[in-house]
Amino acid sequence: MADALPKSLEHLVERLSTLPGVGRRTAERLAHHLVRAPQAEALSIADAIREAREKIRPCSVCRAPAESDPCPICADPARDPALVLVVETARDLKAVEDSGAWKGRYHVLGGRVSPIEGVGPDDLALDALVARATEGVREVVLATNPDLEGDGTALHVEKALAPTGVKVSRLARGVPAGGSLEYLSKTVLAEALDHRR
Amino acid sequence: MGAPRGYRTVAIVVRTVDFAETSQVVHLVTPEHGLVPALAKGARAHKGAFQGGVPLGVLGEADLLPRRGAELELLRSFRVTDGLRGLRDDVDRFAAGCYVLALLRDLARPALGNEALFLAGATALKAVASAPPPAAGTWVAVFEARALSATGHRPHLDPCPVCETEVGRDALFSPVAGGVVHRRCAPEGPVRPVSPADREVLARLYTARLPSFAAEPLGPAALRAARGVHDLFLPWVLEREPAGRRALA
Ligand SMILES: [Zn+2]
Ligand SMILES: [Zn+2]
Repeated sequence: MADALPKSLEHLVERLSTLPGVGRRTAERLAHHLVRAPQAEALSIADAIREAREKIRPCSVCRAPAESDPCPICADPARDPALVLVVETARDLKAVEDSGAWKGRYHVLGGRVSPIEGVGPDDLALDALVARATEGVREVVLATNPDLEGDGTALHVEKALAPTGVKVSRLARGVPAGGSLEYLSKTVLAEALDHRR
Repeated sequence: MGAPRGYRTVAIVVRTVDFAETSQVVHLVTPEHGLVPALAKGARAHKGAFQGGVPLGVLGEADLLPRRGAELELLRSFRVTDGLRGLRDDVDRFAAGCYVLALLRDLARPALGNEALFLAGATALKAVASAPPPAAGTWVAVFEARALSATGHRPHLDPCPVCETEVGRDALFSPVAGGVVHRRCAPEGPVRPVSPADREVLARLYTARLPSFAAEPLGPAALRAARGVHDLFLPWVLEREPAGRRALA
Protein backbone atom coordinates (compact mmCIF):
# COMPACT_ATOMS: atom_id res chain seq x y z
CA MET A 1 0.00 0.00 0.00
CA ALA A 2 1.25 3.49 -0.91
CA ASP A 3 1.95 6.06 1.78
CA ALA A 4 -1.19 7.62 3.21
CA LEU A 5 -1.71 11.33 2.52
CA PRO A 6 -0.45 13.82 5.13
CA LYS A 7 -3.08 14.16 7.81
CA SER A 8 -4.29 17.66 6.92
CA LEU A 9 -4.47 16.84 3.21
CA GLU A 10 -6.40 13.68 3.96
CA HIS A 11 -8.80 15.75 6.04
CA LEU A 12 -9.32 18.15 3.12
CA VAL A 13 -9.99 15.23 0.75
CA GLU A 14 -12.44 13.76 3.19
CA ARG A 15 -14.30 17.11 3.55
CA LEU A 16 -14.40 17.72 -0.22
CA SER A 17 -15.76 14.24 -0.89
CA THR A 18 -18.85 15.07 1.17
CA LEU A 19 -19.90 17.46 -1.63
CA PRO A 20 -22.60 16.19 -3.99
CA GLY A 21 -21.23 14.52 -7.11
CA VAL A 22 -17.67 14.51 -5.80
CA GLY A 23 -16.12 11.09 -5.43
CA ARG A 24 -12.88 10.21 -3.68
CA ARG A 25 -10.78 10.58 -6.82
CA THR A 26 -12.18 14.01 -7.72
CA ALA A 27 -11.74 15.13 -4.11
CA GLU A 28 -8.07 14.13 -4.23
CA ARG A 29 -7.55 16.03 -7.47
CA LEU A 30 -9.18 19.16 -6.02
CA ALA A 31 -7.26 18.89 -2.75
CA HIS A 32 -3.90 18.55 -4.52
CA HIS A 33 -4.78 21.53 -6.68
CA LEU A 34 -5.70 23.62 -3.62
CA VAL A 35 -2.42 22.94 -1.83
CA ARG A 36 -0.38 23.62 -4.98
CA ALA A 37 -2.20 26.82 -6.01
CA PRO A 38 -0.97 30.23 -4.74
CA GLN A 39 -1.97 30.62 -1.11
CA ALA A 40 -4.14 33.72 -1.68
CA GLU A 41 -6.08 32.00 -4.45
CA ALA A 42 -6.78 28.90 -2.36
CA LEU A 43 -7.74 30.86 0.73
CA SER A 44 -10.09 33.10 -1.27
CA ILE A 45 -12.21 29.98 -1.79
CA ALA A 46 -12.37 29.44 1.96
CA ASP A 47 -13.31 33.12 2.38
CA ALA A 48 -16.02 32.87 -0.27
CA ILE A 49 -17.53 29.86 1.50
CA ARG A 50 -17.50 31.70 4.81
CA GLU A 51 -18.98 34.88 3.32
CA ALA A 52 -21.76 33.04 1.52
CA ARG A 53 -22.61 31.06 4.63
CA GLU A 54 -22.76 34.20 6.74
CA LYS A 55 -24.75 36.37 4.32
CA ILE A 56 -27.16 33.93 2.71
CA ARG A 57 -30.37 33.13 4.59
CA PRO A 58 -33.64 31.65 3.39
CA CYS A 59 -36.17 34.38 2.55
CA SER A 60 -38.83 34.30 5.26
CA VAL A 61 -41.57 34.48 2.62
CA CYS A 62 -40.48 32.14 -0.19
CA ARG A 63 -37.53 30.24 1.39
CA ALA A 64 -35.20 31.13 -1.49
CA PRO A 65 -31.62 31.75 -0.37
CA ALA A 66 -30.94 35.50 -0.39
CA GLU A 67 -28.82 38.23 1.20
CA SER A 68 -31.85 40.32 2.09
CA ASP A 69 -35.11 39.39 3.76
CA PRO A 70 -37.54 39.45 2.02
CA CYS A 71 -35.55 38.45 -1.06
CA PRO A 72 -35.39 40.81 -4.07
CA ILE A 73 -38.19 38.92 -5.87
CA CYS A 74 -40.56 38.98 -2.89
CA ALA A 75 -39.73 42.68 -2.40
CA ASP A 76 -40.36 43.57 -6.05
CA PRO A 77 -43.78 45.29 -6.40
CA ALA A 78 -43.79 44.45 -10.12
CA ARG A 79 -43.98 40.71 -9.36
CA ASP A 80 -47.58 39.57 -8.85
CA PRO A 81 -47.87 38.32 -5.25
CA ALA A 82 -51.10 36.44 -6.10
CA LEU A 83 -49.23 34.00 -8.36
CA VAL A 84 -46.88 31.56 -6.66
CA LEU A 85 -44.70 29.06 -8.53
CA VAL A 86 -43.55 26.11 -6.41
CA VAL A 87 -40.11 24.63 -7.12
CA GLU A 88 -38.06 21.94 -5.40
CA THR A 89 -34.79 23.83 -5.14
CA ALA A 90 -33.23 27.24 -5.62
CA ARG A 91 -31.51 25.85 -8.74
CA ASP A 92 -34.91 25.15 -10.28
CA LEU A 93 -35.95 28.70 -9.35
CA LYS A 94 -32.95 30.03 -11.20
CA ALA A 95 -33.80 27.94 -14.28
CA VAL A 96 -37.34 29.37 -14.39
CA GLU A 97 -36.09 32.90 -13.64
CA ASP A 98 -33.54 32.64 -16.47
CA SER A 99 -36.34 31.79 -18.87
CA GLY A 100 -37.87 35.18 -18.10
CA ALA A 101 -41.34 33.69 -18.53
CA TRP A 102 -42.63 33.97 -14.95
CA LYS A 103 -43.98 37.27 -13.63
CA GLY A 104 -45.28 35.98 -10.31
CA ARG A 105 -43.39 34.94 -7.20
CA TYR A 106 -41.92 31.66 -5.96
CA HIS A 107 -41.94 29.16 -3.16
CA VAL A 108 -38.91 26.92 -2.65
CA LEU A 109 -39.72 23.58 -0.99
CA GLY A 110 -36.09 22.85 -0.20
CA GLY A 111 -36.24 19.29 -1.49
CA ARG A 112 -38.65 16.61 -2.62
CA VAL A 113 -40.73 13.91 -1.02
CA SER A 114 -38.61 10.76 -1.25
CA PRO A 115 -39.98 7.86 0.80
CA ILE A 116 -37.08 5.75 -0.51
CA GLU A 117 -34.54 8.10 1.08
CA GLY A 118 -36.69 8.66 4.16
CA VAL A 119 -37.80 12.20 3.23
CA GLY A 120 -41.50 12.84 3.95
CA PRO A 121 -43.77 15.84 3.27
CA ASP A 122 -43.14 17.01 6.84
CA ASP A 123 -39.50 17.63 5.94
CA LEU A 124 -40.44 20.25 3.32
CA ALA A 125 -41.51 23.88 3.80
CA LEU A 126 -45.19 23.02 3.21
CA ASP A 127 -46.71 24.79 6.24
CA ALA A 128 -45.22 28.09 5.09
CA LEU A 129 -46.73 27.57 1.63
CA VAL A 130 -50.17 26.72 3.04
CA ALA A 131 -50.03 29.83 5.21
CA ARG A 132 -49.15 31.97 2.18
CA ALA A 133 -51.95 30.40 0.12
CA THR A 134 -54.54 31.73 2.56
CA GLU A 135 -53.22 35.28 2.25
CA GLY A 136 -54.33 36.70 -1.08
CA VAL A 137 -52.84 34.07 -3.39
CA ARG A 138 -54.95 33.42 -6.51
CA GLU A 139 -53.05 30.54 -8.08
CA VAL A 140 -50.29 28.15 -7.09
CA VAL A 141 -48.37 26.61 -9.99
CA LEU A 142 -46.53 23.37 -9.24
CA ALA A 143 -43.22 23.18 -11.10
CA THR A 144 -41.70 20.14 -9.47
CA ASN A 145 -39.56 17.98 -11.73
CA PRO A 146 -41.40 15.61 -14.09
CA ASP A 147 -40.26 12.34 -12.54
CA LEU A 148 -41.58 9.89 -9.93
CA GLU A 149 -40.52 11.83 -6.84
CA GLY A 150 -41.22 15.23 -8.41
CA ASP A 151 -44.78 14.20 -9.29
CA GLY A 152 -45.15 12.54 -5.88
CA THR A 153 -44.06 15.79 -4.27
CA ALA A 154 -46.64 17.68 -6.33
CA LEU A 155 -49.34 15.25 -5.12
CA HIS A 156 -48.41 15.99 -1.51
CA VAL A 157 -48.37 19.76 -2.10
CA GLU A 158 -51.80 19.55 -3.76
CA LYS A 159 -53.10 17.55 -0.82
CA ALA A 160 -51.74 20.08 1.67
CA LEU A 161 -53.24 23.00 -0.28
CA ALA A 162 -56.68 21.40 -0.81
CA PRO A 163 -58.25 22.81 2.39
CA THR A 164 -57.27 26.38 1.38
CA GLY A 165 -59.38 26.18 -1.80
CA VAL A 166 -56.66 28.00 -3.79
CA LYS A 167 -56.42 27.19 -7.49
CA VAL A 168 -53.57 24.74 -8.15
CA SER A 169 -52.13 24.07 -11.61
CA ARG A 170 -49.24 22.04 -13.00
CA LEU A 171 -46.70 22.72 -15.73
CA ALA A 172 -47.77 21.38 -19.11
CA ARG A 173 -46.03 18.23 -20.23
CA GLY A 174 -43.72 19.55 -22.90
CA VAL A 175 -41.19 18.38 -20.40
CA PRO A 176 -39.64 14.96 -21.16
CA ALA A 177 -40.11 12.31 -18.45
CA GLY A 178 -37.05 11.97 -16.27
CA GLY A 179 -35.68 15.31 -17.47
CA SER A 180 -35.11 18.04 -14.91
CA LEU A 181 -36.07 21.71 -15.03
CA GLU A 182 -32.46 22.75 -14.75
CA TYR A 183 -31.62 21.19 -18.08
CA LEU A 184 -34.62 22.36 -20.06
CA SER A 185 -34.24 24.96 -22.75
CA LYS A 186 -35.75 28.35 -22.00
CA THR A 187 -38.31 27.98 -24.78
CA VAL A 188 -39.59 24.61 -23.55
CA LEU A 189 -39.85 25.97 -20.01
CA ALA A 190 -41.70 29.11 -21.14
CA GLU A 191 -44.14 26.99 -23.14
CA ALA A 192 -44.74 24.61 -20.24
CA LEU A 193 -45.55 27.64 -18.09
CA ASP A 194 -47.91 29.15 -20.67
CA HIS A 195 -49.81 25.89 -21.07
CA ARG A 196 -50.07 25.03 -17.39
CA ARG A 197 -53.22 23.12 -16.41
CA MET B 1 -8.87 -13.79 -19.27
CA GLY B 2 -10.70 -11.77 -21.92
CA ALA B 3 -12.25 -8.35 -21.52
CA PRO B 4 -15.51 -8.27 -19.53
CA ARG B 5 -18.51 -8.93 -21.77
CA GLY B 6 -21.44 -6.60 -22.04
CA TYR B 7 -24.97 -7.86 -21.58
CA ARG B 8 -28.57 -6.78 -21.99
CA THR B 9 -31.15 -7.29 -19.28
CA VAL B 10 -34.57 -6.22 -18.13
CA ALA B 11 -34.27 -4.03 -15.03
CA ILE B 12 -36.14 -2.02 -12.43
CA VAL B 13 -34.58 1.35 -11.56
CA VAL B 14 -34.54 1.48 -7.74
CA ARG B 15 -32.25 4.47 -7.22
CA THR B 16 -30.76 7.36 -9.18
CA VAL B 17 -28.21 9.87 -7.95
CA ASP B 18 -26.91 12.76 -10.04
CA PHE B 19 -23.18 12.55 -10.54
CA ALA B 20 -20.78 15.22 -11.80
CA GLU B 21 -22.13 17.62 -14.45
CA THR B 22 -24.44 15.42 -16.47
CA SER B 23 -23.98 11.80 -15.31
CA GLN B 24 -25.97 9.57 -13.00
CA VAL B 25 -25.23 6.65 -10.72
CA VAL B 26 -28.16 4.27 -10.96
CA HIS B 27 -29.05 1.11 -9.06
CA LEU B 28 -30.86 -1.52 -11.07
CA VAL B 29 -32.54 -4.71 -9.88
CA THR B 30 -32.22 -7.42 -12.51
CA PRO B 31 -33.36 -11.07 -12.64
CA GLU B 32 -29.97 -12.66 -13.33
CA HIS B 33 -27.42 -10.21 -11.95
CA GLY B 34 -29.21 -9.06 -8.82
CA LEU B 35 -28.55 -5.49 -7.74
CA VAL B 36 -26.37 -3.69 -10.30
CA PRO B 37 -24.85 -0.29 -9.47
CA ALA B 38 -23.95 1.43 -12.72
CA LEU B 39 -22.65 4.70 -14.09
CA ALA B 40 -24.70 6.34 -16.84
CA LYS B 41 -22.28 8.80 -18.42
CA GLY B 42 -23.84 11.98 -19.75
CA ALA B 43 -27.29 10.62 -18.95
CA ARG B 44 -28.77 14.02 -18.13
CA ALA B 45 -27.45 15.76 -21.22
CA HIS B 46 -30.04 16.78 -23.83
CA LYS B 47 -28.77 14.33 -26.40
CA GLY B 48 -27.41 10.83 -26.34
CA ALA B 49 -28.54 7.34 -25.38
CA PHE B 50 -30.62 8.41 -22.38
CA GLN B 51 -32.77 11.35 -23.48
CA GLY B 52 -32.67 13.40 -20.30
CA GLY B 53 -31.79 10.80 -17.71
CA VAL B 54 -32.63 7.36 -16.36
CA PRO B 55 -35.87 7.77 -14.40
CA LEU B 56 -36.42 6.26 -10.98
CA GLY B 57 -39.21 3.73 -10.62
CA VAL B 58 -39.56 2.42 -14.15
CA LEU B 59 -39.14 -0.94 -15.86
CA GLY B 60 -36.77 -1.02 -18.77
CA GLU B 61 -34.09 -2.69 -20.81
CA ALA B 62 -30.50 -1.98 -19.85
CA ASP B 63 -27.32 -2.48 -21.81
CA LEU B 64 -24.51 -2.97 -19.29
CA LEU B 65 -20.77 -3.39 -19.40
CA PRO B 66 -18.92 -4.57 -16.27
CA ARG B 67 -15.58 -2.83 -15.80
CA ARG B 68 -12.73 -4.79 -14.29
CA GLY B 69 -11.80 -3.59 -10.82
CA ALA B 70 -14.55 -0.97 -10.81
CA GLU B 71 -17.47 -1.04 -8.44
CA LEU B 72 -19.81 0.56 -10.97
CA GLU B 73 -20.69 -1.14 -14.21
CA LEU B 74 -21.14 1.06 -17.24
CA LEU B 75 -24.74 1.62 -18.33
CA ARG B 76 -24.44 2.08 -22.08
CA SER B 77 -28.12 2.60 -22.79
CA PHE B 78 -31.49 2.31 -21.11
CA ARG B 79 -34.90 2.05 -22.74
CA VAL B 80 -38.05 2.48 -20.63
CA THR B 81 -40.52 -0.34 -21.35
CA ASP B 82 -43.07 0.59 -18.66
CA GLY B 83 -43.01 4.09 -17.13
CA LEU B 84 -45.46 2.98 -14.38
CA ARG B 85 -47.19 6.37 -14.69
CA GLY B 86 -49.93 5.27 -12.32
CA LEU B 87 -47.48 5.56 -9.41
CA ARG B 88 -47.37 9.29 -10.10
CA ASP B 89 -51.05 10.21 -10.05
CA ASP B 90 -52.18 9.24 -6.56
CA VAL B 91 -50.63 9.73 -3.12
CA ASP B 92 -51.30 6.16 -1.93
CA ARG B 93 -50.01 4.57 -5.12
CA PHE B 94 -46.93 6.80 -4.92
CA ALA B 95 -46.22 5.72 -1.32
CA ALA B 96 -46.80 2.04 -2.15
CA GLY B 97 -44.65 2.17 -5.30
CA CYS B 98 -41.76 3.89 -3.51
CA TYR B 99 -41.92 1.37 -0.70
CA VAL B 100 -41.79 -1.56 -3.13
CA LEU B 101 -38.75 0.03 -4.81
CA ALA B 102 -37.03 0.55 -1.46
CA LEU B 103 -37.67 -3.00 -0.27
CA LEU B 104 -36.47 -4.39 -3.59
CA ARG B 105 -33.27 -2.39 -3.25
CA ASP B 106 -32.78 -3.64 0.32
CA LEU B 107 -33.41 -7.33 -0.47
CA ALA B 108 -31.56 -7.61 -3.79
CA ARG B 109 -27.89 -8.59 -3.53
CA PRO B 110 -25.09 -7.48 -5.86
CA ALA B 111 -24.09 -10.14 -8.40
CA LEU B 112 -26.64 -12.58 -7.04
CA GLY B 113 -29.44 -13.30 -9.51
CA ASN B 114 -32.90 -13.77 -8.02
CA GLU B 115 -35.54 -14.18 -10.66
CA ALA B 116 -38.39 -14.68 -8.17
CA LEU B 117 -37.55 -11.43 -6.37
CA PHE B 118 -37.36 -9.48 -9.63
CA LEU B 119 -40.67 -10.93 -10.78
CA ALA B 120 -42.34 -10.15 -7.44
CA GLY B 121 -41.14 -6.54 -7.73
CA ALA B 122 -42.13 -6.06 -11.36
CA THR B 123 -45.57 -7.60 -10.78
CA ALA B 124 -46.22 -5.54 -7.66
CA LEU B 125 -45.19 -2.26 -9.31
CA LYS B 126 -47.43 -2.92 -12.32
CA ALA B 127 -50.32 -3.90 -10.06
CA VAL B 128 -49.95 -0.85 -7.79
CA ALA B 129 -49.67 1.46 -10.83
CA SER B 130 -52.84 0.13 -12.46
CA ALA B 131 -55.11 -1.08 -9.66
CA PRO B 132 -57.54 1.28 -7.92
CA PRO B 133 -55.60 3.15 -5.17
CA PRO B 134 -57.38 1.33 -2.28
CA ALA B 135 -55.96 -1.98 -3.57
CA ALA B 136 -52.37 -0.71 -3.18
CA GLY B 137 -52.22 -2.07 0.38
CA THR B 138 -53.05 -5.57 -0.80
CA TRP B 139 -50.33 -5.52 -3.47
CA VAL B 140 -47.80 -4.24 -0.96
CA ALA B 141 -48.59 -7.10 1.45
CA VAL B 142 -48.48 -9.65 -1.38
CA PHE B 143 -45.14 -8.23 -2.53
CA GLU B 144 -43.71 -8.43 0.99
CA ALA B 145 -44.74 -12.09 1.22
CA ARG B 146 -43.34 -12.98 -2.21
CA ALA B 147 -40.13 -11.01 -1.65
CA LEU B 148 -39.55 -12.61 1.76
CA SER B 149 -40.16 -16.05 0.26
CA ALA B 150 -37.85 -15.32 -2.69
CA THR B 151 -35.01 -14.41 -0.32
CA GLY B 152 -35.34 -17.48 1.90
CA HIS B 153 -37.47 -15.96 4.68
CA ARG B 154 -40.78 -17.65 4.02
CA PRO B 155 -42.28 -18.06 7.52
CA HIS B 156 -43.35 -21.42 8.97
CA LEU B 157 -47.09 -21.27 9.52
CA ASP B 158 -47.86 -24.83 10.73
CA PRO B 159 -46.61 -27.02 12.34
CA CYS B 160 -44.63 -25.17 15.01
CA PRO B 161 -40.99 -25.07 13.81
CA VAL B 162 -39.70 -25.61 17.37
CA CYS B 163 -41.56 -28.77 18.46
CA GLU B 164 -42.96 -29.80 15.07
CA THR B 165 -46.47 -30.39 16.34
CA GLU B 166 -49.62 -28.67 15.17
CA VAL B 167 -50.02 -25.06 16.35
CA GLY B 168 -53.15 -24.60 18.48
CA ARG B 169 -55.16 -21.47 19.24
CA ASP B 170 -52.60 -19.85 21.53
CA ALA B 171 -49.97 -18.96 18.95
CA LEU B 172 -47.32 -16.27 18.56
CA PHE B 173 -45.43 -14.99 15.55
CA SER B 174 -41.72 -15.10 16.34
CA PRO B 175 -39.21 -13.73 13.82
CA VAL B 176 -36.43 -15.53 15.70
CA ALA B 177 -38.18 -18.91 15.24
CA GLY B 178 -39.02 -17.92 11.66
CA GLY B 179 -42.78 -18.21 11.94
CA VAL B 180 -45.79 -19.14 14.03
CA VAL B 181 -45.00 -21.04 17.24
CA HIS B 182 -46.77 -22.26 20.41
CA ARG B 183 -46.62 -19.68 23.17
CA ARG B 184 -44.58 -22.20 25.23
CA CYS B 185 -42.13 -22.74 22.36
CA ALA B 186 -41.43 -19.08 21.59
CA PRO B 187 -37.70 -18.29 21.80
CA GLU B 188 -36.56 -15.04 23.36
CA GLY B 189 -37.03 -11.95 21.26
CA PRO B 190 -39.93 -9.95 19.82
CA VAL B 191 -43.25 -11.79 19.40
CA ARG B 192 -46.79 -10.93 18.43
CA PRO B 193 -49.99 -12.90 19.14
CA VAL B 194 -51.63 -14.31 15.99
CA SER B 195 -55.28 -15.35 16.11
CA PRO B 196 -56.58 -18.24 13.98
CA ALA B 197 -58.03 -15.57 11.65
CA ASP B 198 -54.61 -13.87 11.38
CA ARG B 199 -53.07 -17.23 10.49
CA GLU B 200 -55.63 -17.73 7.73
CA VAL B 201 -54.63 -14.35 6.31
CA LEU B 202 -50.95 -15.33 6.41
CA ALA B 203 -51.69 -18.69 4.79
CA ARG B 204 -53.55 -16.93 1.98
CA LEU B 205 -50.86 -14.28 1.59
CA TYR B 206 -48.06 -16.85 1.32
CA THR B 207 -49.80 -19.51 -0.78
CA ALA B 208 -52.68 -18.07 -2.86
CA ARG B 209 -52.18 -17.33 -6.54
CA LEU B 210 -51.92 -13.72 -7.71
CA PRO B 211 -55.21 -13.49 -9.65
CA SER B 212 -57.11 -14.30 -6.46
CA PHE B 213 -55.86 -11.03 -4.92
CA ALA B 214 -57.03 -9.04 -7.94
CA ALA B 215 -60.44 -10.68 -7.68
CA GLU B 216 -60.64 -10.28 -3.93
CA PRO B 217 -58.28 -7.75 -2.27
CA LEU B 218 -57.54 -8.08 1.44
CA GLY B 219 -60.13 -6.46 3.70
CA PRO B 220 -59.19 -3.93 6.40
CA ALA B 221 -58.84 -6.58 9.15
CA ALA B 222 -56.73 -8.84 6.94
CA LEU B 223 -54.53 -5.90 5.95
CA ARG B 224 -54.03 -5.02 9.62
CA ALA B 225 -53.02 -8.61 10.41
CA ALA B 226 -50.57 -8.77 7.52
CA ARG B 227 -49.17 -5.35 8.37
CA GLY B 228 -48.76 -6.32 12.05
CA VAL B 229 -46.78 -9.46 11.31
CA HIS B 230 -44.60 -7.83 8.66
CA ASP B 231 -44.02 -4.83 10.98
CA LEU B 232 -42.29 -7.29 13.27
CA PHE B 233 -40.70 -9.54 10.66
CA LEU B 234 -39.20 -7.12 8.12
CA PRO B 235 -37.02 -5.07 10.51
CA TRP B 236 -35.74 -8.37 11.89
CA VAL B 237 -34.83 -9.68 8.43
CA LEU B 238 -33.31 -6.37 7.25
CA GLU B 239 -31.81 -5.50 10.65
CA ARG B 240 -33.30 -2.02 10.30
CA GLU B 241 -36.58 -0.23 9.65
CA PRO B 242 -37.53 -0.69 5.97
CA ALA B 243 -37.32 2.64 4.11
CA GLY B 244 -40.64 4.10 3.02
CA ARG B 245 -42.79 1.82 5.20
CA ARG B 246 -43.77 4.68 7.51
CA ALA B 247 -45.28 6.57 4.56
CA LEU B 248 -47.75 3.79 3.63
CA ALA B 249 -51.45 4.55 3.94
ZN1 LIG C 1 -38.60 35.56 -1.19
ZN1 LIG D 1 -44.16 -25.75 19.51
